Amino acid sequence: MSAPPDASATGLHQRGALNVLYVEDYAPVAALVCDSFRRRAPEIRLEVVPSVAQAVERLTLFEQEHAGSGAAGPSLRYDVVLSDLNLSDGLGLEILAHVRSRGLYLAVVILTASVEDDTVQGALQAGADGYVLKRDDYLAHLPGALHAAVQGFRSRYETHAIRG
Amino acid sequence: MASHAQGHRHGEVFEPDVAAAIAQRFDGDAALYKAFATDCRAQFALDAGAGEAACEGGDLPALRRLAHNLRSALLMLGHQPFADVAAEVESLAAAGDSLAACAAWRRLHPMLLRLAIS
Repeated sequence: MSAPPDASATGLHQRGALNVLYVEDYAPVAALVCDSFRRRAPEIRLEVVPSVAQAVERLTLFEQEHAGSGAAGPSLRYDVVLSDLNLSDGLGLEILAHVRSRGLYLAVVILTASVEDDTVQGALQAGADGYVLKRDDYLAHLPGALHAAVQGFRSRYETHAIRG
Repeated sequence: MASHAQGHRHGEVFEPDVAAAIAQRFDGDAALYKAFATDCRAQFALDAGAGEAACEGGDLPALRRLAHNLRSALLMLGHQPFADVAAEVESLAAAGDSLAACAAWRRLHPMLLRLAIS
């Protein structure tokens, strides 16, 4: 796994601030989640993309910028990827696989309407830092879930780095 | 859109359980619900056409994804019976039963059009 970027690159200069790459292909739901975050958790900023392909494109750019090639410093600042499970061109798990295979310093949270154990277990076994079921009050739980996932990811990363 | 303590029917028109949806799914934020409902009305008009195209073209994966999205959106809005039909379309499309999935879609289609112009 690559080294974590400095605080200015992740948005941590603002206490509690999170930058999210949000992958959702159904426009009303994407707008709803963004609207909800603006009202409930303005410290969390979302960039929305509608497909696996566009998410991978953004993550590739993120990786290139954080490799230090840009003199002006990175313009893409993500702390966590929040992805719907079912997307028009694939599964959110493909984005998760990309993040993990590239060793990106990002937490990943999967959103799913499925309550099937194998779906949730599959996401966690594939390295997701959390999942949120699209159930009754999931909008209220999303900010906390994202903060917890990022905290958990960074804690595991630091533990791994110390042992490694 | 009228608010009701429970979802119920007026004649043939199902009235959504708006009050319960706002309380349970929008943490009491009526403005957030209203904004979502407005976005959904515009989307449902597009979805009605997309579902027709999926059935005519035999594109069951597209019909399944569409029904999946509609199920969640309709449930959020408090349209439980419509969400149930969307779930039926999704399940039948996932099972590869084209005839039954599209038959269920034909029941969902007028519901979407009605919501789109409501």
